[in-house]
Amino acid sequence: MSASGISDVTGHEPSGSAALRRLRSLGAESWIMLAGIAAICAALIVFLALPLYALLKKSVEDDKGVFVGLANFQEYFASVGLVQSISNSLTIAFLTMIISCVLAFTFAYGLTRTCMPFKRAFRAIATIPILAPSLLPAISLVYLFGNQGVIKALLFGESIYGPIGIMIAMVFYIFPHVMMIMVTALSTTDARLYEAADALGTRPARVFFTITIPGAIYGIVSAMVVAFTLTITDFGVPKVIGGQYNVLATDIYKQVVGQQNFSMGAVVGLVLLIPAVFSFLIDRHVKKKQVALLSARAVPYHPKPHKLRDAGLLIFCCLIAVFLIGIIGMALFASLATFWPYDLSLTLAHYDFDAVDPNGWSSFFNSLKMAGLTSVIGVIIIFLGAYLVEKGQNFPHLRGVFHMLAIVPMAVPGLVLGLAYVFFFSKPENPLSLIYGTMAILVVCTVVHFYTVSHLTMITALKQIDKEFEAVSASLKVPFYRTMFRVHVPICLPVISEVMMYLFVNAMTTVSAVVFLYSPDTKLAAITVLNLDDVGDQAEAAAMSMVIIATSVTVRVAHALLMRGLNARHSAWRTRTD
Amino acid sequence: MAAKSKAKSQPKRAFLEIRDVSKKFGDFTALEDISLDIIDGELICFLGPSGCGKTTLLRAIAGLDFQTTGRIHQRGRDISDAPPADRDFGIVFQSYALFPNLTVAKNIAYGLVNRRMPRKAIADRVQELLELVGLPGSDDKFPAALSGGQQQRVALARALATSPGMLLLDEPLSALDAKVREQLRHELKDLQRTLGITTIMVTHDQEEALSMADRIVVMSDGRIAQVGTPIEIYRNPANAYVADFIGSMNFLHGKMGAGGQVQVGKMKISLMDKTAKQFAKGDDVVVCIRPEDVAVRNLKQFKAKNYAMTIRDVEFLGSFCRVTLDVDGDKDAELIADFSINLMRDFDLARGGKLMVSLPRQRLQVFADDGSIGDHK
Repeated sequence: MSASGISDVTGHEPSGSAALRRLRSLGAESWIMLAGIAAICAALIVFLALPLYALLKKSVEDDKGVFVGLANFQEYFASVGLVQSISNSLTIAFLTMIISCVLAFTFAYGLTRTCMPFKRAFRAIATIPILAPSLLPAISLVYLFGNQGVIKALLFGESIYGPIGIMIAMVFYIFPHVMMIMVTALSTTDARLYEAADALGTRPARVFFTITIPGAIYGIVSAMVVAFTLTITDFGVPKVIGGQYNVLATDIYKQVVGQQNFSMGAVVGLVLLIPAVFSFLIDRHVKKKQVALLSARAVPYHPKPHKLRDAGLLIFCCLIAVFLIGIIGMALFASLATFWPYDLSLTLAHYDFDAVDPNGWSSFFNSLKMAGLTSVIGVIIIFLGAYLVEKGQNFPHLRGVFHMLAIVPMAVPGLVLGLAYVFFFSKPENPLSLIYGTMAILVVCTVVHFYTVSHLTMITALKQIDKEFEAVSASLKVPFYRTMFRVHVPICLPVISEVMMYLFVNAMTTVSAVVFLYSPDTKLAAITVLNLDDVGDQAEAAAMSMVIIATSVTVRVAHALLMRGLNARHSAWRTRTD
Repeated sequence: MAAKSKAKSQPKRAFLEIRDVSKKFGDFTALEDISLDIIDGELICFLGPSGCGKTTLLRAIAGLDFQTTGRIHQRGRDISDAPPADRDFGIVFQSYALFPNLTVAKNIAYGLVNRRMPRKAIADRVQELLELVGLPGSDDKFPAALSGGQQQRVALARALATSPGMLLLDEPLSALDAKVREQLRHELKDLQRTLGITTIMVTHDQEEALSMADRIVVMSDGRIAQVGTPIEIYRNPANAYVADFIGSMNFLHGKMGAGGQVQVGKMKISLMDKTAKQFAKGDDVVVCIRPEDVAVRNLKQFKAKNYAMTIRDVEFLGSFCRVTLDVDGDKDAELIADFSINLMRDFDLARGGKLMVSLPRQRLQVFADDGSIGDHK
């Protein structure tokens, strides 16, 4: 029986009409999917693309909204003070990047490639800074090295207010981010390379430069990019400890909040956007290459004891731990000391925030509410978005557009996003302006600000789920959303909870994105820290920082307990846990 | 029972009619003008190397990826543009695709629950299916607690639960160990025969296809190279591609000479008259013979030329030996032959030994040599 010989029915037709016919015969499920992707796409356009466009537009308008071309840019580059900030920002970012990467690499090397003790403890300590607002290390440094600082003498007459202070505080603040990338980079190696080198009698230094460094190079570049971006876009540190040393981030704030010069703020915002976008592109490029470097057959590396190396790195890691704990400890002590530095008896008086700020404790509850809403609403949208991108069947172009939009927030500094929101949502003719000044805009802005990392985490988790589940489900005539709830959500529960924690902690500590958007009723705890520090209530500022850290730690511990419970309950089917 | 009727006995109305189906991914043509009838109750295998389009065709039939052009009818109904949920099939994947967070029973009942069947009926059906696939008592286990073979049985039960009109199997046995694969091969075939369910199986494993299929569709580069029963495909490959792809084959490159003979190196090989007639004198041809068809005993019966050959190499493969032979070191006429251990012993064959062989005409396949057929062995 031959396949040919049946040619009386022709199946040829122009593909355009086939596509149209197919569109008409789309099942209800496909329409639901289409509606879902379209809705999330629309949301990202309204809450990301349009505000950024408004920022761009503002930069070529004068204060009355008249188009003035590049006049604002001319004015900007004519101002010596403002241009000086560019070089200041780049210098600080570059030096901080070098210092933090060297320290974090050595620290990560200790964690991954030696047999030193207490690795878990070191790792836990190194992640503490994530739980604090970036203002905290700056405040702490003032206590340590400021005019009445404990160990001021160590600076040999240099002032902590300025580049030195910014850099030290920045190294503290970005250390966990850089360290975690370095650990990943150093963990993904193939032990066989080292065995081969050993068999050929290669000297340790040569092994380090020909195997260790090249193997981790993409991770190192990625870490450098992250360090650079975080430093150049952070606002809290230079605000507190920058003194007269101006950087781009503080310029935006001064132009907008101080001088109400919105057009100039937009220009500085765009200038700040350039290094951020540039770093982002390098990072994307490097990440793509990194994937190809990893082979599934690689044999994991297990370090062998080496007394000198292990002892040396143990001492190094201890010093870093002392630095990190010292910063936190100083802030804690400052918050408890009755009257620094004259009366060091302990008191909880500084935690009575309402005594110094009418929105003291209420700002903390605002933060809790904002962080809670951000993590719940955020995780729902991010999960659905990632699901539709990764598991959707039709509309590849629309899914592609959405995926691209979802990556953009990573390249947009919080200050720039916040400013863009001001321009877009404050206009009375915009129907969405009714959310301006409410909790809603803070939540939306924070979700968008931290969208990319959560989205990519979720995508990675969904990629690990068998891609045929949708096909099986369709063949059994079970709608996709049912399978999503019954199968994908339970499988992704650890990641969902992880993303929720990430959003919560970041929402608790963020300052940059929301500093332009809060109103007296929706003031947040991290903003209160900023204000308290501004008016000289530094002990109270330190105290509020400690409250934020305590909250983040509580959430972390709760997350860990939840995970343990989940793993115990699902141990029958959950084979691998992270 | 429908299952008892052999698929090839009587031509029926085709269960599935595939007409001029093409699929393009950008510039790449994955399927080109595929037309095929699939008969009610048969087990048909799409066989080919990776990238030949077999899975693409299966996914088009399932509606998981739509064809670019062409029509597909199932039982006379045009399903060309129907989404998978509107088609009537059950599917089993190489990865099993079992829901890891649901028990075996819940996995099997997954499609039933949606049909608003009473709880008792669902439970009964699940038990029935568990018995059918030989896994009674595994209801409350999670997939992670089962072996690969057991997981694939559960996947099969889940696909069969809703009594679909057609079963699609996408490399169902490829992820399993050799022993389990062979056992499951038999069980799957038995089950298919008992249920009489029309089944399409995609595989790259020719042994699997030959042993299980009622018919095999050999595919290459998005086209159908040959459709036929396993024996037809093996004995009478339609072209050199199929001859090469299925089983082992000797390819002897030569020139058509006078009197229906082909000159291969120093050998003259005589062909059947009807075979020889297809070629003109001087044509470049390839003469194909399976290693097991190289004859050593009772040479007279073949009425063909005998050749004195030297054994260059002997490869011991358990139940038989694969022997490399040639005529006076002539590389153009090198042959491989599979000899039973029995024959090796009777003729006292070893490396360097000599023997007389014959190439029976009725076992020879001859194709025009377009240079595309390698003599890799």
